[in-house]
Amino acid sequence: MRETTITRRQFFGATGGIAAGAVAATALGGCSGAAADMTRTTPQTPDPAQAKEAAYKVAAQIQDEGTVLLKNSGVLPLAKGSTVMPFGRAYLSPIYGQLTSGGSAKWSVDPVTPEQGLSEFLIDNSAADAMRAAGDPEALEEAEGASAAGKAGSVLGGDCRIYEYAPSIYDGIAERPEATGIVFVTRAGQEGQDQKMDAYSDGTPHYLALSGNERGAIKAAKRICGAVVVVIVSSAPMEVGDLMSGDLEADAIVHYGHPSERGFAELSALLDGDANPSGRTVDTWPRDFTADPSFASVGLHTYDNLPIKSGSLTDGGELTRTFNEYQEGVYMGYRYYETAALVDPSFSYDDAVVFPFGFGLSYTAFSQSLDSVNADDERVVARVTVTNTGSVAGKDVAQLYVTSPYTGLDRSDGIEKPACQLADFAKTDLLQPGQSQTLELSLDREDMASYCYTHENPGGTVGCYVLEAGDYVVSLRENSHAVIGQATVTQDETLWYDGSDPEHTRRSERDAQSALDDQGNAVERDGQTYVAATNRLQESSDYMRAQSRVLSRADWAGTQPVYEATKSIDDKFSKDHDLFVTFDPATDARFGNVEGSLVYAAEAPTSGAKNGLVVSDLRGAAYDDPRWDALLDQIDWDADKADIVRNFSGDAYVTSAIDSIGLPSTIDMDGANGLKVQGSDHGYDMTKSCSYGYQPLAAATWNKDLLYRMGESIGTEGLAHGISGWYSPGLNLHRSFFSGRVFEYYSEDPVLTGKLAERVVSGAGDKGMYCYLKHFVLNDTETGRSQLICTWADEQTMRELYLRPFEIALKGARKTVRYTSDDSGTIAEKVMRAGTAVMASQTCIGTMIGHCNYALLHDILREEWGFEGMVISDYWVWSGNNHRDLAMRAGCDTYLCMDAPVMWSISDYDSPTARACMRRAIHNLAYAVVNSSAMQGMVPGAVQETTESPWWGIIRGVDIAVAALIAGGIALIARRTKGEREHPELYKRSKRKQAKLDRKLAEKDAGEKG
Amino acid sequence: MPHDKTAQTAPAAKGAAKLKMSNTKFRVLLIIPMVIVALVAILATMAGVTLGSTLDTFLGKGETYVETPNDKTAWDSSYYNVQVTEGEE
Repeated sequence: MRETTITRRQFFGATGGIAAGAVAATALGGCSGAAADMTRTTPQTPDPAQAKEAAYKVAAQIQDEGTVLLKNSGVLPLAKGSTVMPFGRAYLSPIYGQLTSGGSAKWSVDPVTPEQGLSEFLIDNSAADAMRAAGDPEALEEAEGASAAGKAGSVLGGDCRIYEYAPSIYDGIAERPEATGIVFVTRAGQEGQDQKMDAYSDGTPHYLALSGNERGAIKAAKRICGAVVVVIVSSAPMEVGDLMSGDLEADAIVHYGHPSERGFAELSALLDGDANPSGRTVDTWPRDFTADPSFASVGLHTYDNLPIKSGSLTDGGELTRTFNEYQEGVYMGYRYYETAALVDPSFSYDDAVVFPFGFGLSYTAFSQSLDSVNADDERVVARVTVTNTGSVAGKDVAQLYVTSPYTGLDRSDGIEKPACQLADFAKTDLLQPGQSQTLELSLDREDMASYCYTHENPGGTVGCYVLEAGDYVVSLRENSHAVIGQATVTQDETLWYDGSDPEHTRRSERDAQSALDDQGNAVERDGQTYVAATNRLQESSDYMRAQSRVLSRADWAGTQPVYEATKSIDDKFSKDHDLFVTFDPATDARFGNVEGSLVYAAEAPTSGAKNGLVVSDLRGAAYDDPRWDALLDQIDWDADKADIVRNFSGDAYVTSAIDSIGLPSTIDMDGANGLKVQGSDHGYDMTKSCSYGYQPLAAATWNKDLLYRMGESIGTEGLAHGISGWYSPGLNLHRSFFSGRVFEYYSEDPVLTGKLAERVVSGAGDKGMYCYLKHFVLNDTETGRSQLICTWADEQTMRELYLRPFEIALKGARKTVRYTSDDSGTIAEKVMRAGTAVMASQTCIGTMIGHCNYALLHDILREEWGFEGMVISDYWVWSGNNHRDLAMRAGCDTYLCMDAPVMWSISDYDSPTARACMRRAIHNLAYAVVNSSAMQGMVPGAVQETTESPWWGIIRGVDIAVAALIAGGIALIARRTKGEREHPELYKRSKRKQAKLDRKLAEKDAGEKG
Repeated sequence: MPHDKTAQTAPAAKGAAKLKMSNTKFRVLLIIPMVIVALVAILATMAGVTLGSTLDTFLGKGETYVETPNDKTAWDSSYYNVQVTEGEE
């Protein structure tokens, strides 16, 4: 700790927006720091430039390991220095990632181009010259009657135009059989809208299919060059079945992902073998995307009887509510295709699937063997030996799947069992030819359980996990479809995790609800009671059964999803559907100031106490440490009102300081592909931090250690820039590739997503960053998300797929926290839970929006998963205060809204119930912040202060100058007025005034004469 | 004091000393720009209050620092290693 005055570049934990509200000296009257004399000190921070460059090395490795070699007839790797001929507009103008400044991701400002990326080869520019000479191609328009290709679905921009040159431009290029044609194909993703799902004017069936001109470019490359490699620059999979054989067959296909700023710098290495691709698909690549079971449900579907008056400023007025039903249930992605292959004799897997989930090739060959599978009452452990049997070094991925028995109980109770489910995975080190490595993959026995949402529990609740008696097949697979070896694990008795006692509660729940020791292990206390997962979203399950359908193995053909453009919703499912518009804090029976409500408090909590604590005193303290109550008793609700209210109504990329408890402000930032840092380009400067490839690329590495290092790197950059929170990672699933936000989410699989996220969150946490896991939950597509779309799924589907990544990451992530452990300043370390922040979804679960959903934010997140930390809403602009009141009471601790004080208000600030809810939320916020990098440089008793922003000096100067001018003007007017009164003859006058004066003088003269 | 009638009551004759501007006109000429300038100042202040964070982004923020109790300034408060480790394996 240096005792100097810091410069602006050395900010730590600063937020200018709340500068004036940082810890004011007057507010420290009851704080430990106030009694002592204070010294201004400077927190130590990493060098931002060094942090960025180190992060770019991680990003490069992610590109190397996340690039998926989908097809290779032997053309790759190319000989170094050989001739390549690039084709396709995406070579000249690829989509590196986010297209506009709107949205959550970084955009590219000076990216490494494909041309630069191919610099190790001899580039034949014949095709590129033809493209340049042709000028910009016309965008492909929509087919007649189809949705617009150029629509901008949100204020965040973006469209679904496809640009490609007519293949005739290549007609004049002579054959060059020694050259390898490299055809680039690109597609965008965009927050705020989904991709076009219907046809274009040339017959291209949808946005993710190859267009006619793209096909033409591939054919031209095949005619001109000796071999053709197709490079797909897209986060989402594309329909590329036609490239596997026939007249469009490519010799190699590479899924490069969205590479961001420097990703193309790895292109030569990946093509010439300096880097050996080891990525694996994170999704199943079907031959026909429109045949996927999710296709019937995503997009726009409207209720004809459910209008709602929106309080939104951007989409205000009366809306007609739309719906999205997860009809395919748990059979999403490979779970559908593998199960269809098992249960449907008419289904041809090879016809339906081009690349399975977990698929990827290498420039070397590997063999894998399942050495053993050992199971006890709690764990199942598999040992796998991987050997590099090829001729070059490379990495391989071991994938462990579980197949659960499908029984009569399942049929009768409506439990669904996919043919296989990923349970664990591991990536090898770089194996030299002939080298072997033994990996250990494992799962909890309870992970094989399924959720039964129809089971009636002894305690009167409904629904729980069940581990049925029977044989479970644990299989080692090359991918979801190719089995290498397998073993059977037998469960002797059916175990219902109904919460009737600790033995009937899953261990993961007991652990999550227990305190941790200093090593991060759960410590179960005698007599502790636990909450097991039971139905919390009963209405959604009921709706799916009554008004929709859920795909079932019991009737595979009869339960296939169906498309419904419109329908009516039954009254029982629409009751109170507009509560977040009509909510009245004074009268609402569930969340109001009404005795018996879920949040009711008869008395206001203590406030204004002088207990001598500040937040920095509680670093390293457990969430339930009694000092928290003493600290929270100090809250001065009057003095801190503005900042407290802001936390519940307008925390846009910050959290506000609360002076009376010494809570510092923080900066929290977006960044699906790296940390956004403030600057002058639309409020940001993209050059200040590393831009990673997009999330599916990171997931395609299947490398937990690498994702941990990515988290560390982002955390270090945050530390360097004074950013403590990261609005990422996104843990929604690739339910549909037409989701505009596939780029921001990892995979179709919840286990791959959850386990990788757990590593990212842990890595970032070790560097002081708290990650907002988002969007909790069911925000898997963008259509209607800001227009109150109703999203429905049965509870088994929600728990086993869409809640699961959040559950895995929040329960498993750990961070090491250094803190001051005694009055002598001794530093100690302890391992704490790293998952301390969650972002709720904009979509509605059922009819209730994510950030007002008590069942999610309280029952599941906090009661079942033991979550200790803060929830923030997704960006949500409403004109009504009551919505924010409801969010805060339902468990949304901070509210992401406009950075404008006019929006910062809530209806009820003073009632005991409101105070109790706000106090709980402040506890959650402070607990997350105190164990983050926001406390770097803050010993116990230390507080953060912020001086006034320098531009206020200009405004103040203007104010003073104007005041002086006005005062001078008034003085001048007064002086003149006095002067005129005394010597009117010296001033011009109007005729009227002159006449009046003449009259007065005449009267005076007459008087004198008289 | 007796008036000098011709000098005090008649408009200035041609060639006589120039009279000062009418006070009414003077007030109008002065008050209008004063109101405009005052409005500008008020709007600037309001903008500072309502758009503070945005202005911070573009114009720079105030200095944020830590106040540490005098008797604890020698304590280790660097909870996170600030040495940037190599990003490669």
